[in-house]
Amino acid sequence: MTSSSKNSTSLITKMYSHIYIEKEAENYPVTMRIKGILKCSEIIEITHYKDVFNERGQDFLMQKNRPKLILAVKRENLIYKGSPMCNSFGYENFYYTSCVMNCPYNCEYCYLQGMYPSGNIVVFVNIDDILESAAKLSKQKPFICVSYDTDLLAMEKLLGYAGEWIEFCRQNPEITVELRTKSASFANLANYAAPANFILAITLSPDEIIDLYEHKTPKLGRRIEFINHAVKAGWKVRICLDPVLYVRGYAQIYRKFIDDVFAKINARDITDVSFGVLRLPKDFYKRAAKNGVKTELFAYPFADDSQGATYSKQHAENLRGVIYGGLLEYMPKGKIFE
Amino acid sequence: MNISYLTETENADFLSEFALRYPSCANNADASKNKNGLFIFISHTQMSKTPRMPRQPGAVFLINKITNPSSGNSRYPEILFRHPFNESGISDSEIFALYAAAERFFERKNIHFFICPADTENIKHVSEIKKWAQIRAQFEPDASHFRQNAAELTQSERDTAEKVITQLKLTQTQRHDFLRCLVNCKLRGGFPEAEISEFAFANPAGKKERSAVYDKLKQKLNFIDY
Ligand code: SF4
Repeated sequence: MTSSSKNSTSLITKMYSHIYIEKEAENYPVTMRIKGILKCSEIIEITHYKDVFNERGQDFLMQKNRPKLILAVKRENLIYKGSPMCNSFGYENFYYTSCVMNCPYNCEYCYLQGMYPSGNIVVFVNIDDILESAAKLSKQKPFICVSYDTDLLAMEKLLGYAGEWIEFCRQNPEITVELRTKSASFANLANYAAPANFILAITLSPDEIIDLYEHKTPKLGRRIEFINHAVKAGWKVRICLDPVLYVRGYAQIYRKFIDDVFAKINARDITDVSFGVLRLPKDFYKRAAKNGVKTELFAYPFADDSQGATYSKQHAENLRGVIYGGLLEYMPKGKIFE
Repeated sequence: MNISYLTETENADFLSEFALRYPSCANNADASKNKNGLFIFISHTQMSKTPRMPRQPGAVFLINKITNPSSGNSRYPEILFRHPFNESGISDSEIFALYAAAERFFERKNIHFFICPADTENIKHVSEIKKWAQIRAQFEPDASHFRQNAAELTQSERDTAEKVITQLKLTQTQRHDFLRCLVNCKLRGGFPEAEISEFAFANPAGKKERSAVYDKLKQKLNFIDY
């Protein structure tokens, strides 16, 4: 039984006001680390993370604004085969892992809101088990994405997981790891030397989109600065324009954005660029609508294809044309992935 | 906003009656009736009789975990709002059952259970909790600004839409679809008054033609370039 005193300054609970900890997760180093950092959070012991995460009737959007942490042990599916909805960049063996479920950022188009019943963040504390099962794949020379269902770099101060994957790359040179992020804090990487098999995939969006839809994420200027820092320090950088969104004035917005980005970043320093128009798992709408997500983003006609749902053919092609055409002016064809 | 809480006597009466009536009372409840209200349950506990309750005297606790001691199952009340109280878990089968019943009447984020040890000044606690509940209830609309408000059609927009619906004799499904399409247009750039007005005078003959006109209308709405 736990109890503690509280002072109320604002009525919304602060970030990570509560930490739910599986009994089994208690003694892991990352659990100790988190408890050490979040000293004022209420600690609640749980049996299984699903008892909290999968509860019925949760308010996803309110939780997303001030998420609670759930610390758990991942018992199965430590590593998954990559989804055909995602780009494998030509790698035959494409995998991804989820050491964290949910993300501290709050993008309105995020597919996670249709995937998870909760806006709270689950951290799997047995990172060593996940690294170990990734290492077992080394003979396949795989490509592993480690930050799909979250933004590991944005949580680096709390978890240190990006650092774990960087070290992992050093010890497993035949495995290529991609860490995708919208974070802009180079300080999180400053203490590491860049391994050649670690790709920092930084998602960029026009400020118009960031302001409207990518809540809590750094502005474009800061992300560009981050890229320039990283490149200078020897990191392999992939620029991701993903998702590109059909919005009013999309052609001018994205054209200007691409020109601005490559005015500030030397295209030759960039490993490659990937882009993708908004696409979502098929049952996304149903769940997102159930979670109360109603935004202009989903007000365009969507069509199902074999890999999920995306804009109607006409909308998608218009959008693709603008992006691909713009990128071609700065990057060779072979370095543009869709 | 409806704030429900129980006095000490009501609480005792409720618990004994609850034990008899649950679960049938919960099953027959009109769950939608109180969905937006707050449910504040205050239990005045005899500390000596219930050794697993919080023991600090003079305190009031907001419950963050309720365990059923016989099954070992636990529920975790949602705490989305800041509060000035201590928090605690509790192990009590009646409170566990009461929470399960409350979930049928109220949204989880609106259910708050408090425990006051019976030998403390209950009146003071109840008024402290009530004061918080009132502030919290007022605050809720602000908190929900994170939820994007859906565009709603105004009465005059609805009237225009209804003219088209009547003229084209839309089925229930088509009607629903058409209204959703209009809301989407509104979200994207504005109510498509001009685009739909011509359809209010369309005069398709027969089912097949009506359906063709409806498809044309939908196509038009889907590709309005704002
Ligand atoms: S950064 Fe990515 S994972 Fe995080 S909320 Fe945005 S889209 Fe979702």
